[in-house]
Amino acid sequence: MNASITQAPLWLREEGAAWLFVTRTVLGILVALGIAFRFDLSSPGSAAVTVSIIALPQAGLVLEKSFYRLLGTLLGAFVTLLLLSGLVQHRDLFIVAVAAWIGICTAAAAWFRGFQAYGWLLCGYTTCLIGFPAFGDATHAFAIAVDRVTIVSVGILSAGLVNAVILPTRSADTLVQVVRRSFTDFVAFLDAATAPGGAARLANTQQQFSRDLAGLETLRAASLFEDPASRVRNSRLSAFIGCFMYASSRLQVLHRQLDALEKEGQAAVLAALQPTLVRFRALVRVAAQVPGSAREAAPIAGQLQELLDHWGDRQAEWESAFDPADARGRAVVLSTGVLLREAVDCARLLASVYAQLHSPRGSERGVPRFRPGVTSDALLAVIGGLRAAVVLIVMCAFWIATAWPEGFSATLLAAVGCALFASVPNPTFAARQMCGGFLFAVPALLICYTWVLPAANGFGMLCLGLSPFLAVGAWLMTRPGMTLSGSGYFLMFLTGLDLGSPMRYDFISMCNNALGLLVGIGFATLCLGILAPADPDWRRQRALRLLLRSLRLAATGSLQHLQPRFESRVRDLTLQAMVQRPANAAAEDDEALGSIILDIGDALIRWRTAIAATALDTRATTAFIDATVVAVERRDALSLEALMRELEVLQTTAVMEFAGAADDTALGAAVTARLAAFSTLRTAFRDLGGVLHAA
Amino acid sequence: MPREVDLSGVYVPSLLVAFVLALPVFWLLDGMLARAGVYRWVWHIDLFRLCLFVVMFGSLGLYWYR
Repeated sequence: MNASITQAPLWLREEGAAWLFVTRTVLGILVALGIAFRFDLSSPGSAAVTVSIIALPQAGLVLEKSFYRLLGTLLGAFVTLLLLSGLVQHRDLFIVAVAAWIGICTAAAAWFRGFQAYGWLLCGYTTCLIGFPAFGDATHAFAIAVDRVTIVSVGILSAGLVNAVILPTRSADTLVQVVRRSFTDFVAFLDAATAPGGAARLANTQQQFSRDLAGLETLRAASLFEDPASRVRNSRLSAFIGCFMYASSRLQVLHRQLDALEKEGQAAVLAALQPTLVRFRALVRVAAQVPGSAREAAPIAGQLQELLDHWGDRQAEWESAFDPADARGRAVVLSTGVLLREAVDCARLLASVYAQLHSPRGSERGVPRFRPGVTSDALLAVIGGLRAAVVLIVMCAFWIATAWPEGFSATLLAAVGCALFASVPNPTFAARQMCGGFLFAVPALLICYTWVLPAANGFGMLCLGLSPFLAVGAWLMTRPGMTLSGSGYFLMFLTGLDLGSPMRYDFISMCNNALGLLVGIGFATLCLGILAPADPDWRRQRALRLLLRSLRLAATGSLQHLQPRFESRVRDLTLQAMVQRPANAAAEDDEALGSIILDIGDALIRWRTAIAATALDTRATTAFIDATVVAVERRDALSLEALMRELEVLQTTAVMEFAGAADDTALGAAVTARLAAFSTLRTAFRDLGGVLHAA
Repeated sequence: MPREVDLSGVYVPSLLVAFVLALPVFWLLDGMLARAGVYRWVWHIDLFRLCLFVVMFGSLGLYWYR
């Protein structure tokens, strides 16, 4: 059956997946409604809204989002009860307290990523959702909080049930495919990176890797929630992701060095290294083909280990190509060899981790634990939080001043909108998209409310009547770029319908309610544009500045696992800058800047490690590194040129040291490591100068 | 057995208590089965796990309400 699915044409597979999603979402909503009606819960519509909000294409994603939704709701309910117990007699103070809490939660939502951010968001607006109705009715505050938690749980349970059991699309299956494809891509990348030339294409592949890695992280976290087998495999999987990132960067550094050697006309060095490079490529491509599954990749690690075991022979081979008096040539070939050795070692590690993935159990001995870190911008988070708090207070003031009966829906929606869009790359665009969904839901709401619902007698007929309207929303969610419109449609449609048993038909109050919702979301959209507008270009510049500043980590951080930490930060910031970039601008600059910063940081760390290994005087090194960090941060082309000249002097001194340390292998190794750092730095400085000139 | 449990003044249906109690037991068993590789022989893993949970919750509830 699987074979027939994968052989189907692309459009059929995509449409099939979309319609499976529509079926699951509609079914989930109906099940939630059924349960809520059956148990006579207070607002069945909210259970349906929950299902529609956590509707995502894969079971693991649904379960993860529901987990954080539940957590957020519970914490939010708890905080609301605390606030109510203290401030139930002071209306204005209560509003300020709620606004402060929502501000904190929105800031947290902007700080965290993915579904954790969503959990914080929910934590904030649950306070609104429970607190305002309970404020006028303090004796029932606890009952209202319990109602809310119950209704959310019902929605979560039915969504989880339908998504996991009925026609599931599992994250774990996608994960296996993505991991396999990543390894295949890696082998192709390795092929290209171990020869000079083609730098632009490789940089593109690197950025593709960064995106893939972010996607892999998401999938890994999601499959944790769906599958106990994934939980067993989890630590190996995160090791794979970390090793993948690390290994591809090592290859990138090696490649840029090979490229620079070719440009400098060091053909002799390249020729000396060539046999080893060819061997490396051949070992990774088992039997001249890319290994498909983890099992096939198993021998690679062993063979690479063998290559590493005889590394001394390789070094002797390279050196023999040079005249013993030619210290410079030998130094260059050996320092490039340092980079090559690291690349081979990382490839070996990656292959061994990959090979272990297929077994249910595996030893994790010798596998480094990398944690892909994310870097958040504190300023953006604070702005988002302040904006949400101000919007809530303004909306509440308007509500009190006008005694508007629908003030509650408007306030709620304004709070939700501000919090929801604070963390997305382009808030104004997202908010407009959601507003589009809201407006699109209005005619559907009117039709359903006036003709369909009154004709539905009994739950079966209600299901039949609602299905087409729900299907439209779910279908909207499957269209690329219209997901938020779909969510807006559901939110408006299901909240506006205000399903209950017995159903109360009051066309006027329905219209008023709908109007309140529209005003709320409209006000949030307006505030996102007016109050400290989150201009994408400004945010991009901020991400780039943080990117340049991340060199400080490489220059001063503790050397323990510094390289992976630094790398994940640089990759994350580069991605952030690229996401924010205006549609018509070229992406190459950000990409180039990201990889240059990666190189500089890499060289600084290597240099620091080499110095730390020998008991040398570190003052001159520290001064040079600090000057580098400052020059890069200021984008100062002049001081970069001065640093370049200084670097050449350092290089010449190191070569002389190398010539002097002919017999002392330990000292020789330290000097070659330093030399490798110098040459990487020089290449990076030259490229950075080019980027600065272009900008 | 009482149908409702008094948790410091809040009356909670004892089925809810059974549900909450069944969860850790299920997680333990689930993890053990996954480690043993049992799930590789199961056709529809999630359905199997759901049924497993229903069995545990049901037996706990029946024990309570019998």
